[in-house]
Amino acid sequence: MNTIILVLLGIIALIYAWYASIVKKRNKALEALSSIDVYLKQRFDLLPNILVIAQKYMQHERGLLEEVTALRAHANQNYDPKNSAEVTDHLAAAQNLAAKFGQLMVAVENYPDLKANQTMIEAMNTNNEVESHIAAARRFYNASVTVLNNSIQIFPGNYIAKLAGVTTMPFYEADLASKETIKASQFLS
Amino acid sequence: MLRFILFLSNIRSLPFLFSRDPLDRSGHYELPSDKEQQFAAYYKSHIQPAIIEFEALRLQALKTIAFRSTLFAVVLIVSAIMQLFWIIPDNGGFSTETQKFSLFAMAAALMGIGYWAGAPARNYGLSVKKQIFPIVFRFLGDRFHYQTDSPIQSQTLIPFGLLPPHDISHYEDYIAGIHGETILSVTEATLKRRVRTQKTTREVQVFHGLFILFEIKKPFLGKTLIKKDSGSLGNWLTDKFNKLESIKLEDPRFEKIFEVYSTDQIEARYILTPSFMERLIDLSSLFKNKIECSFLDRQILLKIPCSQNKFEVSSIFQTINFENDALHIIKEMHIIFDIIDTLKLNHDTGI
Repeated sequence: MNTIILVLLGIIALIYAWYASIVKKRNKALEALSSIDVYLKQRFDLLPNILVIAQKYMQHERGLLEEVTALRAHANQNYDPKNSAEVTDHLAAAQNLAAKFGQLMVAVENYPDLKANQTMIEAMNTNNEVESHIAAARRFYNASVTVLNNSIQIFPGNYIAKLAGVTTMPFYEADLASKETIKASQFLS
Repeated sequence: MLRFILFLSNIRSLPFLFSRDPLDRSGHYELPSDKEQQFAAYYKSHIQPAIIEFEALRLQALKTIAFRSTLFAVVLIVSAIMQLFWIIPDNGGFSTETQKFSLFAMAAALMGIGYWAGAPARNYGLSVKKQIFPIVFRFLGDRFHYQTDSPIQSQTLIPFGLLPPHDISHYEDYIAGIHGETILSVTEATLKRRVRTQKTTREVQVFHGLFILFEIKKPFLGKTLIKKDSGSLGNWLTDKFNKLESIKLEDPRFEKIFEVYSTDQIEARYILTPSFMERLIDLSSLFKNKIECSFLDRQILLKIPCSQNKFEVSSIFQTINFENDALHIIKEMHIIFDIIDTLKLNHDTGI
């Protein structure tokens, strides 16, 4: 009788430890997501400075500037970190903004006066730092999500995760445009 | 006999042999031909004039060593005769304690005389290092500076988290300079730990090699350590007792060679970009995967263990030719410059 009780207690302890481990991994992934948001916020705060300077010089790029402004507003919307669909949408919005901003930086190359503007140079250097940190934060997030998803997709973690209400989280993936092969002929003439 | 005396007094006076140190690349390192030509011209104009003075010093030192070695030999022979035919045999009439004391006294006296006999060789080597080495290092640039004693001590390096526990430290051969835009300092270190047994206390060497400190423009948040992989058990034990978080990275080759610990997950990944990890793997392969490094504030500390004593003068028994010594030093410094170039520490995109 005592043996049975001990075995049952052992199983309960094991299930609890497994549950606690899954919750820790979920919290780690949420922490990583929050870290990304910290650097996205830095980028968000930096963008208006760059856009104001760019508008003075880049009259012919008005459409591009308006797109960046709209994407910035969309990327700054609140979301529920525990909702997988909202997280996916939030990360996609951040990635779209990054891609469009990248196009803007390429366009800046066509405006030598803008490129030589000291404030613009400092803003771009700061932006490069922020982008490097976003890339690092993204890698941390993806590593945390991998650990979390592995733990709740492999038996018996999937059942324990259901009990805990923990679901898989999406990866922060590169957008399709950046995965395409680059054709040098598009840039060289 | 002379060489035996020098062995007793100072192991560093041994002739410079082709190194069996697997971490010593300087014997196989080839300087670019234009650099070799520049060095040959520099040697002729700046170092060769000192040869005559040091050759006279060397010959004088050898005479002194010869005299002192003869004295050593005489004392050795007389002591041995006394021990064998008078003190030790029973008909000497001495007690056991007296016999032991006399043996001890003889050994101490011989060691003292041996050390004294080797002093001219040590002084000669020190003179060369103090007077010639700074001229050699100036070939690398006016901003290069050498001194025999090192201002870097354990207190400076302990915060980086790479020093093994030790009780005794000895730092020497300090070199400071600028390569490109990177400020670097190099020091050679020997660290020992006292091991107490029931009967005695002995010293065990826990590290010998180089510490290279780089100062770069960007500050790092927190501390990031890149240590050698210690195997599954070693890594698990380190994880348990380490205050830093273990960082798991994407590159399996990097993970096989190194274990990374940091106070900040993101800062560690900011430093260790995929391209930087590749460069670190390349660098590590040059040193048999034994290097470790640490990033703290605006500094990077590189720890390179090696069994051989670096930046030393060749044997007092060889005719003076500083060119070999100097070229050897230049090669060793270029290996360090290669580290800066491999890691791209001079570039803004390097880290």
